[in-house]
Amino acid sequence: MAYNGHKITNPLMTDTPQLDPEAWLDAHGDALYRYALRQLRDDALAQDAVQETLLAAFRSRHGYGGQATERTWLIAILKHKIVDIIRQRAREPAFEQLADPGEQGMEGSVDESFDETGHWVMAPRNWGDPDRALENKRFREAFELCLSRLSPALADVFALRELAGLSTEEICKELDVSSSNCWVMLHRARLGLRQCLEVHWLGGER
Amino acid sequence: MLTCKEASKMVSQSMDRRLSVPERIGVRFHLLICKGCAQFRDHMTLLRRTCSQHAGSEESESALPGLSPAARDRIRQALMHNDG
Repeated sequence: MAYNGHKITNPLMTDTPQLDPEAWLDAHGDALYRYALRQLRDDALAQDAVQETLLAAFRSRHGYGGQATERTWLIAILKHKIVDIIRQRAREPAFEQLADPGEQGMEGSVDESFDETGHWVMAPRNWGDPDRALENKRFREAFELCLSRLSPALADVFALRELAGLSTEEICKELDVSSSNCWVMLHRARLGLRQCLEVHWLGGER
Repeated sequence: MLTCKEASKMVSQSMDRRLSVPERIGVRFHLLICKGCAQFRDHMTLLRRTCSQHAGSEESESALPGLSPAARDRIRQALMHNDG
């Protein structure tokens, strides 16, 4: 790749980061891709997010003061790209249907967890020591499986909240849903994940 | 007295917003006497910890594959065309 004069420094002498998107791709491509894939659950979109991130990083390279590590800087850019992609995806009809507060659809799956008196149909069970679950590869696999089984709209809202770390206010704004709607969707996602994990984590070889 | 359905909804919302004092008292009281909802609360805490671990784990310990060689090439091409 051809570079202008400002790039020519002795790599052994410099402590400024290498502002080279191809080097970023080599060093961080897999990490960025995995990060995006977790949140987007779509191979092609995750690749797009990586590409967009590296292009955006190159364009704003002079804003990078080296305060954060190169990877932290790139991940911060990637997060914005992921939100952009989810926002676009949220405009699709399937999402709007789910995000619509049409009571039956929304409360329906919450209702499945409780009987008519508001008690658990199947009360949550003890999963044992949470630290051991966190360290367990099988638990992480069960989590990834359960996340992939959530309906796409619920998984998107959940990913924005819990993986990207957006506040519910930010999510409401990005996806143009009301805050009560957002809470119901998050609650449904959590109920669904919890129930799935109970089957796949507890139901495993314990 | 909250039902489990209401209490679990409050527990879930407490992950996203600060509950009002009456809400907090209601949930706390319910959790004291309801083992199922107390488990639910523990599971929500674990879910959050799992997510932050999951979001942060960029390294290879994941079962997720990296970029395929074809995808890598495609992105490299796009980068080269961009700064030509």
